[in-house]
Formats: sequence, C-alpha cells, structure tokens
Amino acid sequence: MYVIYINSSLNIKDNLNVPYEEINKGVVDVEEEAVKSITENISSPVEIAALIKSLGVPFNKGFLAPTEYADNYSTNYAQAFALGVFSADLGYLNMYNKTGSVIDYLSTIKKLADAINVGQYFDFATLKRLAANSANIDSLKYISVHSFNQMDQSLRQRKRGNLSSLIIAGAWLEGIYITVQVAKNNTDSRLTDKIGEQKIILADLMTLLISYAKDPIFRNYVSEFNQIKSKFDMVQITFEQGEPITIEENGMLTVIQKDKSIVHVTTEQLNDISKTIEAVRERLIRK
Amino acid sequence: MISFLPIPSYIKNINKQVSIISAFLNVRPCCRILILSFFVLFVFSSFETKAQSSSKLAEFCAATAGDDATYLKDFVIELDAAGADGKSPEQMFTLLLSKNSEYRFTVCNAEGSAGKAIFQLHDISKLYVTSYNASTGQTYQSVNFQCQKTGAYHLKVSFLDGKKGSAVVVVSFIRTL
Repeated sequence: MYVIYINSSLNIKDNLNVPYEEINKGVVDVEEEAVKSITENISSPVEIAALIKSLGVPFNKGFLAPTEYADNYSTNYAQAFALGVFSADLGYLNMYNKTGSVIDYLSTIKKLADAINVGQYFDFATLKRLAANSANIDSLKYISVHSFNQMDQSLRQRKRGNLSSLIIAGAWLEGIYITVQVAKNNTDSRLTDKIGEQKIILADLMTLLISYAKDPIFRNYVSEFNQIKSKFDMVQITFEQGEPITIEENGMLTVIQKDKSIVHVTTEQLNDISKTIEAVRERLIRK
Repeated sequence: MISFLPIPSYIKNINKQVSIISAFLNVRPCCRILILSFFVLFVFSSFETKAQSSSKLAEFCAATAGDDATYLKDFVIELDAAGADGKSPEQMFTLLLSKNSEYRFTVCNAEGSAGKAIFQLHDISKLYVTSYNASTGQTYQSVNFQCQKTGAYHLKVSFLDGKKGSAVVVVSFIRTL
C-alpha cells in the first residue's frame, strides 16, 4: 500500500513511458487486495452501541445525523459516506430497540443505496416489516448488518472499492462521534479505552483511504480524516503479555485472553480528539 | 508413422471444442440466440444459486450462534481436498477485535460438505482459540473469545483430514466485558 502512495507522489504518468491505463490497472488490483483485508478489520458500530448501552446511558436522538440532509448529497462519494453514517445510526437505534424511529433511517439508507447501485442488497420491504414489531429486533439486526456486508462485498467485486471505503469511513466516524458525545458526561474507563484504541483502527482506515487519494474529490476526505489522525497520534498504547485461560461450561468453550492493550490518553487529548471529530463530522455530513 | 503417434490430450480437447463450436454455428441463427440465452442464464443462475446458498447458510449459522449473540460478519469457506503433499488447504481471514468485548465464533458446514470445518484464531504472536482438540478428537461448533487486546487477529479455517468441503464461520458479538 505504501508503494502505491509513493508511486503516485512521484507522478509516474509524466516520467515514464508506460501507458497510464496499465499503471492504473496495477493500482486497482493492489487496492482490491488491500480493501479486502482492511474492511474485515474495521470494528462494527454494533460494538460501540452495545458498550454505550451497557453503561446504562439512555438513548439520545440528538446524537444521530439528521436524515433531511440526505437529499443534498449529489455525488456518489457523498452518498456512500452518508450511507455509512446512517448505517452506524441504524446500529445505535437497533441496539436500543427504537424500532419506531428506524423506518425513517431505513428509507434514507435505501435511497442512498439505490443512488450508488447497491439498493438490491438492502431488502427494504422486509426490514420495514420487521421494524413494525419490536419482537423482530434480532432479525432486524441480522438483516441490517448482513445487507451492509453484502453491499460492501458487491462494491469491492465491481471495482468500486473507493465507495466501499467511504461507507466504512462514514460508519467509523459516526460511531466514534456518538462515543465522544457519551464520554462528555461519563468517565467510565471503558469509554476512554474505546476512544483511545481508535488510533489502531484509524491507522488501518487511513491506509485504505490514502490508496484512493489520487482522485481530487476523494483527497478531501483523506485530508479531513488526517486532521483526526493527527490528534490520535498523541495517544499511547502499550501492551502486556499473558497466557490465555480456557474454560468449558455447559459444553461451551470460552477463551479468556490475558494479553492486554492499555490506552494512555489525557483529558486534554480527549477534548482535542472530541472537538476535531465534531468539526470534521459537521463538515462532511453537510456536503 | 505419424498416424501411430499418440494424440496429446490437449489436442483431443481442442478438437472436441472445435466440433462443439462447429455444431453451434451450423444451427439456425434464431436457435443460436436461444442456446446462448440458455447458456448465459445457466451460468448466471448457478452463480446466484451459490451466493444464495452461502447466504442461507450464513443466516442459519447466525441463528445457531444463540439468542445472546449479535451477528457481525460471516466468512464463506470453500476448499479442495489436500493435494499429493498431504497438506490440508486452509483459508485465512483478518479481522479486528476490540478490547473488553466477548465474541463468539460459530462454524456451520454446508449440506453435503465432505469435510468438517475447524478454525483457529491467532494473532502475530499467539494461538488463542482452536475449535478442534487434536488429543481428544473433540470439535466445537462455537467458541467464545474474551478479547483484552485491540488489534488484528487471523481466523484460519481448514477441513479435518484434508477433505474437500464448504462451510461458513459466523462472528458474533456477545457482550461488553
């Protein structure tokens, strides 16, 4: 992945007598491989929503991105990014069983998915039917997440990994945005850990985004995310070693990891991260 | 002399393909279109059927994971039998797991799969989870993993005794620790 970045900065197109299509073809092949390994790496908004709920924090609709912005997204890039944002919101709504508000988000997601030609993977009719009854929440959660996995897979197979990466970036940003909002009134160390450890996830995400930075519109997203990354650079993560313990209870095997990752982040750094995330999200969701 | 030489198999195959094409070209144009349409339909429907069946298996496997499990991702595995060297083929996936989270890995074999899928979870330094106990021969359909270190982990899937097989591994979220 770094080879691609260095090559593009050297501007091969101008300096070597190789058809540009050939250079670009190679880049796309490498990107596909990179996208495949990285997207499976990005953690799910489901986990963030579950953490927030487990802390006893009540649901707050004010954390969600307004669906009325959806009509303003005119490029496939903005639509893909917003699709990711609203998917994280859907995960948050589902985790709190807010099936009443889900329909609005489902129809917005469907509209955006259609705009980037992956609407066929989003079974809106079934999801809408499931959302009508809170007893169906498990099926709703499964079909929502599975639909996103299928959209992601389809985009990558059709060499549209750039859109897939923006969906992932949007979902990540919205997930961390909700986390920093909750952390403003809650000092639980698991929240601080969750924010700090995003340094690892963001490093992966940046590698993915940078691989598409040759596109000028896309470069703007890279630049925005770079601002967040610069704040996370201050966070320190150390590791402790330990041997895992395995227990078996009622036929179920559970492995308890004894290695540990420890996040070192100051209140000032957290505030800085929080402010930057809010500013970047505000700019990107209003596009 | 030449006629007694054995015809290489690849030339025989080419001859076979040429005769199929010639037969195809000899039929009427309207029939050609019909044959082509059936061929295209067959190819695409077989792709779709395959995708649908792995999707159905993933859905079944997610339900098998249990009521306390929230589906996160599924990995489809299709492997050939071990080759002459006896080494079992394996498929590897990389995924990011977060500290303070408990995950469940559940494996489901496709109907008619000759082999039984087993999996291992490890990172760069250590093996954490294995669904197969080589000393007792016991296999586990599901294994929980309580993660305390955020980072990239590798899920390695293979089939017992190097058999050919197809399966799905579903990763679910259980709870915040």
